[in-house]
Amino acid sequence: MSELEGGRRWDVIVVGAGFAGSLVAQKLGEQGWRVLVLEAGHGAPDAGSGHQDAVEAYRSAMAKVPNAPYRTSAVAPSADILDLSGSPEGGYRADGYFVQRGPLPYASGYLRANGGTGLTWTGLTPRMHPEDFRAGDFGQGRNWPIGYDELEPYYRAAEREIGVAADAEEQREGVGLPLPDGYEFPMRAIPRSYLDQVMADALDGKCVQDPTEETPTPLRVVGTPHARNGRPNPGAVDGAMEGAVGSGKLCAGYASCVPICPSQAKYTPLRTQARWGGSVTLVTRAVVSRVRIGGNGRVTGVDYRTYEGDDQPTAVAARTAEADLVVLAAHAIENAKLLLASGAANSSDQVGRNLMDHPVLLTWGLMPQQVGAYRGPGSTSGLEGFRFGAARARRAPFRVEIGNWGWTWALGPPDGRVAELLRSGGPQGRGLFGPQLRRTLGDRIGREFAFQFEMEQDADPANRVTIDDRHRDALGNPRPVLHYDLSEYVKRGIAAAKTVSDQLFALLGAEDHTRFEPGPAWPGYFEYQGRPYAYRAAGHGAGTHIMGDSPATSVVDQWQRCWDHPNLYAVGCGSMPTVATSNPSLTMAALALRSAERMHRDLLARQGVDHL
Amino acid sequence: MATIDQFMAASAELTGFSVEELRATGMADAYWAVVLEQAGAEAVGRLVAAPLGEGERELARAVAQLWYLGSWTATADGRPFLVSSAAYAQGLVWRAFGGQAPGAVAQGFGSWTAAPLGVR
Repeated sequence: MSELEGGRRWDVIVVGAGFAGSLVAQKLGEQGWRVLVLEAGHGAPDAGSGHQDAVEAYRSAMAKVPNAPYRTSAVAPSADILDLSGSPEGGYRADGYFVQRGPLPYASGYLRANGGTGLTWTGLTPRMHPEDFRAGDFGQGRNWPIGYDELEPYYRAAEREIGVAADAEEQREGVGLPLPDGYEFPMRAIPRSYLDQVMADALDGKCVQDPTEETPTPLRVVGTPHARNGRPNPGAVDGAMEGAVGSGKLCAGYASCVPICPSQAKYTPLRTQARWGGSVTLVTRAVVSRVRIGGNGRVTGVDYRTYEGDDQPTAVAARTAEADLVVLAAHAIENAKLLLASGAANSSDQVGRNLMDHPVLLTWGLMPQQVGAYRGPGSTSGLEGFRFGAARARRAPFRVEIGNWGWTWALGPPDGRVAELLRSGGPQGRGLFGPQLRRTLGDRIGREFAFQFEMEQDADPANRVTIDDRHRDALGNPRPVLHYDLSEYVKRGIAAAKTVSDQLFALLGAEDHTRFEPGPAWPGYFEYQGRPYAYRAAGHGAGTHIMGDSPATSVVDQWQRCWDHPNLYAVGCGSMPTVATSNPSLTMAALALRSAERMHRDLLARQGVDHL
Repeated sequence: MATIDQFMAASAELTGFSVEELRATGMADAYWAVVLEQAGAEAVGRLVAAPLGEGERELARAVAQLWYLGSWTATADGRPFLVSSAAYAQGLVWRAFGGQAPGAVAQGFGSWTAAPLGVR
C-alpha cells in the first residue's frame, strides 16, 4: 500500500456522502481500507441535534418541498423543485442551479448535504424485474451488461443493509419477482393504508383496457417494499436486521417521509455512516472540482476546496488528496459534471448523455367516502400490471402508485383549496366562512387521493448534461447545463396511463379532478395528440455515466468502473442503462455493494503490485 | 379598541370552530398579535364589529386562513409567512376531517390502516 506521510495519501477517495458513497465507504472501511469521504454540502456536527433541527426547519417552512428541512449552500448548490415554473402560454422558466435548454424541463431536484438526496427520499424499495435488464430486447433503450440473476444476491444484501420491510410471497405473486426459495425480507411488510384496502375492494379482480395492449390488464393492489422500520421478521436469516431499527424507531405514521421522517424509521445514509469503522474519514464542505489523471490513464486523486458560509464562500482553501482508487458517488448529474470538468472517462462520448428520470403522470380526485388521506407513508401499495410484457415495445411501461397524501404532489397541500374556498366559495362566489367552510373542507380533504404513474424513460443520448464556461456557481465550478425532453415512447406511455386512470376512476366511482393547463404550477405541461398533459418528476436522475459491455458505447463497465481509467469508479443511478419503473435507490444500493467487492479486489491487486 | 375576546368571537364566526376549540389550539395570543401587527387596530376593530360584513372581507379571509393553515396571507407589501411550527401543527384544516398535520404528530405504527374518524 502506498502512503505519504501525515495521512495525506488514502487507499480510496469517495466523492459524495449519499446513498451509494456511504455504502461503498462502509464496505471498504470494513475491509480495513483507509477511506476519505468528501461531501460538498453541510453536515451536522452531531447527528441527533442535526435531525431535530431539520425536523423543526421542516415544520416551520412555508413551502414544504424536499430540500426544505436541510441546510443548503450557494457554494455547493442544490437543485430545488422551486427553481422551475411554468409559463401561462406553455413552456417553462428555470431560475436555479440548473441551466435548462431542453424543450421540456428536467423537473427533479437533489440535495447536496451529508446524506445527500437519501435524506429526502420516499423510502420505497421495489426491486427491478428481470425483464427490466433487457429493455433493448423490446427495441427500446439498452440492455444491461449484467442480468437480474447476477444482481440478485446484492439485492438481498442491500435489503439487509438498509432494512427492507416486505412480504416475499406477495412480491413473487404480485410482481413476478423470482426471489430465492425460502427468502424472507428483514422486516414484515408495512401495513397497507385504509385507502389501499378501499381500492383493493373496488379493483382486485377487475380489468382495464390499456389501448396499447391486445387484451385487458387484470388489476391487483400489491404492497410495496419499504426501507422503513416495521416489525422484525423472525423468519429472516443471517443477521437480517443489520441496517434496520438500530438508530431509528418503528414507523409512527408521521406522514412526512418526504422530506423527513421525524421518528427516523426511514433509512437514510446517516444510518450506514453510524456504522463506519475508524478507517473512514468524512470531510464535509469539501467541493471536488476535478479528478486528477496521470499520464498512464490512472487517476491519482482529486482537487477540492473547503469553505465556510452559505451564500458567500469564505475561508476557501484549495486542497488535493491522493489515493489508489477514486469513487465518484455525487449524484448522476454531479458525477457527469465532474467527469466532464476533468476531461475524464469520455472516449465513448457518452458522459452526461442518456439522462433519464421518472416522469410522473398524476391524476387526482375525490373518493365517494372518507379515506383517511394524509396518513402513513406516502404510498403503501401499487398496481403492477403495466410494468411488463409485450406492450413495452410500443409505449413506456409504468408503475402505478396509490397516493396516500391527498393532492399534495399534484396541487400542493390543502392550503390552496382553503384559500380558494375563502376567495370564491359560497353561493355568491364571495367566499365561504363559518360552519359551511368547516363542513366543506372536512368533507373534501379527507376524500382526496391520487394515482402516481411513474413512467420508464428510455435512454436517449440527446437528453444530456453538459458544462459551459459561461455558467459557473459561487465557487467557480460549472453549473449543469441540461437538455431534456420526453420521447414519443414516453408520451405514448403517458397517454396510455391517462386512459387507464380514466377507467380506474370509473371503477372506483371517484370524482376526477385531474386538469392540466399551462401556468406556473405546471412547468412540465405539454400537448400530445391534441390532448393536454403535464408531468412531475420523481427525483430519480439516471444514465449519465451509462454502464455497458463495450468501451465504445458506454462509460462504465459492469462494475461501474470507468473503461478509460482502471482505478476510477462512477457509482450511483448514473450507471443505470435503464431506469425501468422501480424507484431506483435499492438497485443503486445493490450495485454499490457489488462494486465495493470489485474495488476491494482491485485494491488488493494494487497492493500486490506495489510490493513487487 | 378591539379586545382579544372580541377577536376570538369573530374568529369563531369566520372559522366555524367554537371559541373553546380555537383556544384549545394554544394559538390565540400569537394570532391576536399577528393580526394586530399586520392589519392594524382600526381594521381589526371594524372586523370584530361585523366579521362577515363586506367592509373587511380581505381581512376576514386572512383571519380564517390563519386559523386553518397557521399562515398569514400575502399582502400588497408582504410575502406570506408561517407563524411558527406550532401554528402549522395546529392548523384547523387537518382537524376539519379528523386528520393531523403531516410531520407533526406520531400517530402510531399501522394507524393508517384504520377507517378514518369521520366514518366510524
